[in-house]
Amino acid sequence: MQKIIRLWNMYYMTFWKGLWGTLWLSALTVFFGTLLGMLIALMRMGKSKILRGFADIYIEILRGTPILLQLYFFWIGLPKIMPFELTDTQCILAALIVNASAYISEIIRAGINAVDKGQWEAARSIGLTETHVMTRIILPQAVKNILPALCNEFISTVKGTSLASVFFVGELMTSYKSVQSATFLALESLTIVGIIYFILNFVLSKLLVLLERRLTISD
Amino acid sequence: MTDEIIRTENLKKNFGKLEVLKGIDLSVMKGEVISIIGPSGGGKSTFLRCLNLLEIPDEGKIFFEGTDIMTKQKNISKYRQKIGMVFQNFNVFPNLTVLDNIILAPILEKKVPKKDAEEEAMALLKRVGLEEKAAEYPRKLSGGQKQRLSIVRALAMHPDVMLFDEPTSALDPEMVKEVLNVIGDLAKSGMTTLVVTHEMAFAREISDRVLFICNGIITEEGNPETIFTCPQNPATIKFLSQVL
Repeated sequence: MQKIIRLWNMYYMTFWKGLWGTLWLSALTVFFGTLLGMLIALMRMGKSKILRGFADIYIEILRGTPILLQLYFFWIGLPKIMPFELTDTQCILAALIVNASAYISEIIRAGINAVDKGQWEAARSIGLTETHVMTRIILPQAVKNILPALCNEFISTVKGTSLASVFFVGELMTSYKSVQSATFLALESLTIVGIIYFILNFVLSKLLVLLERRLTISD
Repeated sequence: MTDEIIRTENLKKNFGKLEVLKGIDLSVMKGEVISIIGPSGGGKSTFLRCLNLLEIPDEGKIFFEGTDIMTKQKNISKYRQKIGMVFQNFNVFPNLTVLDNIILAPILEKKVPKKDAEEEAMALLKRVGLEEKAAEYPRKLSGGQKQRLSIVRALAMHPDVMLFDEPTSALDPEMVKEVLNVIGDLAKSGMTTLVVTHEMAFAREISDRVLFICNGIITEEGNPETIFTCPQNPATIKFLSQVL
């Protein structure tokens, strides 16, 4: 226990930096993952067979292969096809976003499908255009189905970013690696990182419960 | 009552291998009140839903005021604005207040100024005794109130025709009357009305014409007195003996 405290006192800046890295990596992943996921979900539910096929394949590949493999793939592949320089962090971030988008698109699709079919029909029957049916009637109701699952996805994204440490992208797990190699106190630094992860996700899940309750009250 | 508003010719609809509509020919006059009766699964609701293209017919034609509406499906939402529809399960919008349920479509699709839309919505709510509920969300309404709301939501678009798809089938018995009264008043005011219903007394009272739809075709039609007192078709006779 004392060793852990001493380690924290010596290296808390490193851990803080790691936490910061994890936070913004997660935030960017969830934000852009949701945008991309929405696009994929709309493609998958749309009328065009080509777009639907593309979205199907996209989702199946990303769900059917390990995320670590996807990270490697982007890390190695992306710099080769891009005409400009990419940092490791950018490659890893892109991979995380693409991976999250596949799962989020399924969450969004399920949330939209869960809205009663009668709502579509009623909205169409009063003469709303398809865009207004979606934006005014269906999506506002779907959000309530989507949000809880999206929150879970957010938490698993936070944990998923630890894989970025394989590529020494600055986040929590990477800070464990640097502290561990500097001090050889593996178990102790691992414990600190574990506690930080736990607190982070604990706080997150409590916040999300609050948010969820807010939304259901308005219903 | 001489102008034709809707005409269908040989309307057919299949769900997979199941032929639900096998060729329906009907001409509806302006201001006419038509009840559609018949056994479940006979195609009554499907026919009604084809009229505002919630179901796209597989064959046949629908004319609205002389225009074939199947060929210009691009403007499908414009067409639907002229056809109000009320559903069995109300389908009010739970994410909007009672007032917003009504003014949404007029503001969005007809560009009615918000103030005017609200004024009219309040007048409509008053007409059906719901003016005090304007600011509530629909979850606070009873089934009968929801259905009255869904009727005025449709009326706010000033439709030329109103379609009612079993409007009282999902209601508790004590609420049936309040909804039937609203529909009855509307029909008497000259609104062209098609109503699929199992309320035979109501159909008999308000209709100019009754259609009996069974197995995807109109097997019998006529004025309510004839249909209810001396039906000719064996299927009609059997059905009426079961429900009356």
